[in-house]
Amino acid sequence: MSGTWAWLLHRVSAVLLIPLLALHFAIMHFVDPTQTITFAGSSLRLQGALYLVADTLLLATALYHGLNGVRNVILDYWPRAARGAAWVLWILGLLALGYGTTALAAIARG
Amino acid sequence: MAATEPRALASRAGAREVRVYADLAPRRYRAGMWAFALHRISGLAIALFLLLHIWEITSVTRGGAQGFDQTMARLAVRPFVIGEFLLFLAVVFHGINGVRLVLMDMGAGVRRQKALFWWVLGISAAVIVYGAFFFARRFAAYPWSL
Repeated sequence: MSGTWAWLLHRVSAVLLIPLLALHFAIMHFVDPTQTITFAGSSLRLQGALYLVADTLLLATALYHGLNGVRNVILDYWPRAARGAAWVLWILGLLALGYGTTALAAIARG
Repeated sequence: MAATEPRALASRAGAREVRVYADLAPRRYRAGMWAFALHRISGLAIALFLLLHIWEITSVTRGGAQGFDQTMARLAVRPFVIGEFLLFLAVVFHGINGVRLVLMDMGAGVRRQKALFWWVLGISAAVIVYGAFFFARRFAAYPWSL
């Protein structure tokens, strides 16, 4: 992927992450801060289609933004390793996305 | 024309060396450099947390509902509440400073970037104080260890 596309996607994911993460944090920590997370509670939430879509989108955008951020750091200090690192980060990201989506689906299924 | 090329390259290489050095010398930081360093450190911390968070949530695919609940119960202790609060600090700063970076990329406020950084710190502090009440309640409700 060219640098411009990576840069643009970094910005787009950033803008998406602000409301998604604010919502995620508010629901998980501010609605009832004393509550412990349980399978039953998470399952109930993820059965709402909107919540499932929002969480999956959050997973994908957070992974892209985070791992591309790591690539940016590598690009600054060790530019010759950036191309190889990008491959490793893409594989790591896709694996984490697949694994994470599987988990979300399993929780939603109940 | 050709003669300027190597000089340009040399000065660019020189600039890089200075910048790498400046990265690692906080005593020489000015406001913009603090913004850069804090954004970078908080970003790396959040990225590391993200991977751990995915590992924690996917406990459901390894141990089913029971495995998930066991993992969550193990995390419902004060040391992790402190960790979550530190994560909250990092996310709030990174997000609000990120808005400033997106604005600057669009050409807005470039000349006022230093003043905007103070705004970022102020707004972050306000959000953090607001959130601190919720984390305090969580902290009070949980034991130090199981």
